[in-house]
Amino acid sequence: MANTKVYQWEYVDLEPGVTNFGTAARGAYLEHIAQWAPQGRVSRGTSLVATWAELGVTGTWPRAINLWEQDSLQVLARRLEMAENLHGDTKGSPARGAAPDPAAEQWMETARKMRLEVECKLLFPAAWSPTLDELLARRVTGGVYYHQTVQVTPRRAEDYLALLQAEGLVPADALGMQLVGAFRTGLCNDSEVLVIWALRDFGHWAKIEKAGREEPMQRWRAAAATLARDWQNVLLLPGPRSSLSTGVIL
Amino acid sequence: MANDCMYLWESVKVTEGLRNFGASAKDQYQRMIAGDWAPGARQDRGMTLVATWSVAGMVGPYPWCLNLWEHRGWEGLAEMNNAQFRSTRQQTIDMDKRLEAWFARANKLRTFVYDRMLSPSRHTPTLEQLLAQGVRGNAYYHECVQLAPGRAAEYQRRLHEEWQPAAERLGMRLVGCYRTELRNDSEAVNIWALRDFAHWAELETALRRDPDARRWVAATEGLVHDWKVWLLAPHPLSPLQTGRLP
Repeated sequence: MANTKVYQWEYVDLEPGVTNFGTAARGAYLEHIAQWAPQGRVSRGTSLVATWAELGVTGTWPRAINLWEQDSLQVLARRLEMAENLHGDTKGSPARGAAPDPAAEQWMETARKMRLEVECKLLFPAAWSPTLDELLARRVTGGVYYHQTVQVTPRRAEDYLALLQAEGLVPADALGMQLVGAFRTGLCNDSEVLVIWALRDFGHWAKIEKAGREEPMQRWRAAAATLARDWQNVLLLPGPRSSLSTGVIL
Repeated sequence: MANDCMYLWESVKVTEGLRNFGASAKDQYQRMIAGDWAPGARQDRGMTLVATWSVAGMVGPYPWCLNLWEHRGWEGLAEMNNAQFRSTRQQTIDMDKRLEAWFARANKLRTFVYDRMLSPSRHTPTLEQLLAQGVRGNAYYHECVQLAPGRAAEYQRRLHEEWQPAAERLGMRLVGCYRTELRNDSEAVNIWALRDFAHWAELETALRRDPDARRWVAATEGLVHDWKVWLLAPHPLSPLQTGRLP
């Protein structure tokens, strides 16, 4: 069945966490997200697909990435409304008539000591991209994850996803890469695609990098180059309580 | 013989160190890297420090340091990651417990790191070759070159053929010419050893006037989209400075 969910992707800067919590900051933040997830699901209709730490040697340290799944844009709109109304006015009253949410406030207070800036993206899945339920049913999990950001020719994101389905999935599968999700980024000119894969471990990743310079991956790269202007990959380490790590939705 | 190592390029912001320790923050951090971390890391993680530099803040970002590590290919990078993240348990997601004290101190110095994984051109010397050839400088010229996607290998080949001989005539000695991995063959990093910063001043003028330099820039139009240079000051404990492996 076609995936009609919508996803929120969060990229979180944890510099204050290192200052306040030391080296354990990233782990502590991933746990903090895991603690929030059940409440987020019940009160906001958002399910945590995964929380990851970005592997600094492939990109930036200290950073975390969270991926949340919602049933529809309407559910996400409701989340946005709640988030924007969360903080009261200067007299402590809830803003714009919203009900107070002490649990969220408390969570935010701890989060404030861990994170500085958060950059988010709205993601729309390819119809064939698995939902969280399907990922768990298929037991998709990894010791490490491969996160690809692809800049594509504007207005061609859906074409890129179609090409990935037609020509990229088979060689990836042959290398043991399990698809977590393939998305186009919303709120832009259909010019970006995100693809996330689960890998077994770092040894598996090393094999994939070497295979990337050989056939059949070279053939896929050549095909992708007709639409991809540029791309960048990073490795992610899964939070131990992520749904993809435990097989259970938080 | 082709260089089949891989390299980890590690840029480190030490703003927190400035707050906590003052102007010596960069030096303190680099001593932790070259003196404390590098010798053990070579044994335990297969990562060999090529150099640790301070980025010259007057013509670039401040306060930043740059480390370059050499690994035994992709498997060597996997080995390093395995050593650091040998357990997926929450407590150890960030570190090897044996290194707790090192990290506790490092966290007072730096809170932000941006890295690249680099593969060398065929003719880039390994660290052992650099040491054998006596390649060292009192200043280094670091170029980050944005390329037309997919053409990094072509750029590297042409750099060796068309630019390196002229650059050497100008006194530049190549430490390495690298391609940035995990992206679309769209970036190269070149590092050159210079005699000193006075040499750099001469070079900056020469690069505008020297016919070979002008020819190189003109010839790579369309291949090279843009570039940015950092000037680097070497730390005395850096292997390229001591002439010894860590």
